[in-house]
Amino acid sequence: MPLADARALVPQLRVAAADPQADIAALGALADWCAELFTPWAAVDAPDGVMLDITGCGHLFGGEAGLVRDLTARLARGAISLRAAVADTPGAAWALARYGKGGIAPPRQMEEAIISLPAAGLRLPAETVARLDKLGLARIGQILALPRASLAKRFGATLVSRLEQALGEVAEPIGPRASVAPWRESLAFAEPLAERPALDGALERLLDRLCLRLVQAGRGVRLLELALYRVDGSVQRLRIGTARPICQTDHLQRLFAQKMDEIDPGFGIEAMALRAPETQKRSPAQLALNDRRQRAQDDRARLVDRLATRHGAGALRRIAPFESHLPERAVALLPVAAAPGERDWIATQPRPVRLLRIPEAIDAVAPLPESPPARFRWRGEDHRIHCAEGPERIAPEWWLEKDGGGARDYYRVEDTAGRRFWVYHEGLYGETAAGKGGPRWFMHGLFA
Amino acid sequence: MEIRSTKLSALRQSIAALERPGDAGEGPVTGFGVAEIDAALPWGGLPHSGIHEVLGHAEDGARFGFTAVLAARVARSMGSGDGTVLWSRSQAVERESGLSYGPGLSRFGLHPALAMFAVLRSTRDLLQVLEEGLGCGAMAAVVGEGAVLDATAARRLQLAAEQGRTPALLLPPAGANSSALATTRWRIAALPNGPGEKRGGEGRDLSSSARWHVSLLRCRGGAPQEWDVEWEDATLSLHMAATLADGSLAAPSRRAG
Repeated sequence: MPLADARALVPQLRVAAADPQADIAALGALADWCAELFTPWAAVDAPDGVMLDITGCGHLFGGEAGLVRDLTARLARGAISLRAAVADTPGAAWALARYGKGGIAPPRQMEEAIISLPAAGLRLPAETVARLDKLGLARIGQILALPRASLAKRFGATLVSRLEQALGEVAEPIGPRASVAPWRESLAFAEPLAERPALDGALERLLDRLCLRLVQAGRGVRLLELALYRVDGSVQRLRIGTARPICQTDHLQRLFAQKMDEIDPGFGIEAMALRAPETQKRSPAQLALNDRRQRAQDDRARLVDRLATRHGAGALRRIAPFESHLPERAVALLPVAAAPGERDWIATQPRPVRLLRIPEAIDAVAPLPESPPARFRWRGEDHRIHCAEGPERIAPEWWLEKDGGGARDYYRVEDTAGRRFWVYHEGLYGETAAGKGGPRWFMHGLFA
Repeated sequence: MEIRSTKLSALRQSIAALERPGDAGEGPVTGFGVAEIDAALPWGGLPHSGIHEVLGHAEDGARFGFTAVLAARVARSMGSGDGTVLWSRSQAVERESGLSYGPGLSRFGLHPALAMFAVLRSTRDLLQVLEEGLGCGAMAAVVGEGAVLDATAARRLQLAAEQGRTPALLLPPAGANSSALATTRWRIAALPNGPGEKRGGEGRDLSSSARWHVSLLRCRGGAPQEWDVEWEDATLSLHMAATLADGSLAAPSRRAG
């Protein structure tokens, strides 16, 4: 159907240009994912399939049916629909998945399984299918009934070899994907290690190997995972992250050193594997080491890594201006790895150095409506006000919150000891008459 | 007599050596930009390798402003883009005294690009961060809020500060024993804007510049002193408090250290 017709029928139709390359790339990712979960022998079957050799893998998932169920359920969660077919040969599975109902063909009965499928199920070029069709050979069963020699003579060797492949008379191996060598190193020990120095030594060797490869590739790790396999079969994992791509053994070793205490070697560690799930190209600036400023930044990044490894990345942050009138929203918290912004707050009105997370209610006495308080009580201490400035009215961001409270009138007040506070009242004086309780006073911050 | 005087001078020398171990005095120093204060410090400013305690009332913003001024001055003295201040505190402190508020700190020269904030789960974590931050020398200054130091912790921080040549600006909680190892100890209190008491609403306007009563309580190799200072937002500078609008000098306030 032409696009224009389709649009006429369904006006809200979403249209995207076909992108075969992206499709193949996505299939590649899918094959890699399958290779990780189900079987290492996974290949892309262009243009629309993934071929898995699950010989000997089924029992891990409770049989072939279990494997198919698991696969289907997992992909359904990722909003990928599929038709899966399991057969003795790749050819038969291909035909069943595309021209049959999918499912699992009973073993050693490939002929019965594909006999009623269209001839196109034999993975033939389109012109061969057309010629077969012209001769009335629409089903695979009809082709099978003819002598092979005459088939080869009339339709070429492809048809016969496809037939033999589908029936399992000729072996057809699946080529696994040529994957990029993963950023992974492992070591198995002749004797289980239980002592910390021995483990540290092994870690250093792993890091050395990985870092050497990283340096050659001009990359650095952002995330690194160390798995320690204990003799009793359990696995312990340590994870570190870095603020910038790193390929220096000593720095990574120090990051791990902080976490190695968590490791309980039990009766010994028999193998260790190091994996870098996330690597990144190092910037050319990072490669130039003679720059003093660059070195200072590197030192800082290393310190940040060490602190973040020990205390969690959330413990560290930078702040930056955020455009909001509400004082509690005017500060954006950024991860420390972010480049420090050059922007500063635009100072219109003085702002406190400390802002209470939650404004605290205070008992305040104001002599007149719409005037600053003459005295107030906060955290059990009385404050007499002798200077005040205000009000500065800050209205809630009505476009964000449904009922974010009323407008606030902020006052900068100074008590007789010279301490300065940021207090506000919420609600309007006129509301007292309306029985709404009038304004309530809050403490929100401290001025220096 | 001769022998006594030589002995005495030898003792004096050894005491001086104890009082002023060369390491605190050598190394970089950042001045306050106020001649009177810099003159009172034997180093001509704040020495980078050492512990500097800033005391004050828990619910008074003055010492946070003063600390921000110090930290920002040190960071800016490192040259453009090189200085970063690590301002660390525990979660409990943050709950109690509120967030370090950027728009306010920035008025005291602590530009958002100059500062990094750490909020730790416990005081133990806080001490670890302080030691690590001081020792590696990558930070211009490390601020530690709410840290209670025992003798060992104080010594460790002292050594780390000397090793990294990084000043430790500590804001101990109210009532905590201050450590004997501090190179300098300050008490900062707000300075009332004017004498006399006026009722709110009718009183004079609040001046926008901060005014503090700064007491130098302890100074290794120096004598305690007090000043009234004023911070000027526009020029990002500290200077001695000027005469007030009504022409009178601020009443000299004496507070027990």
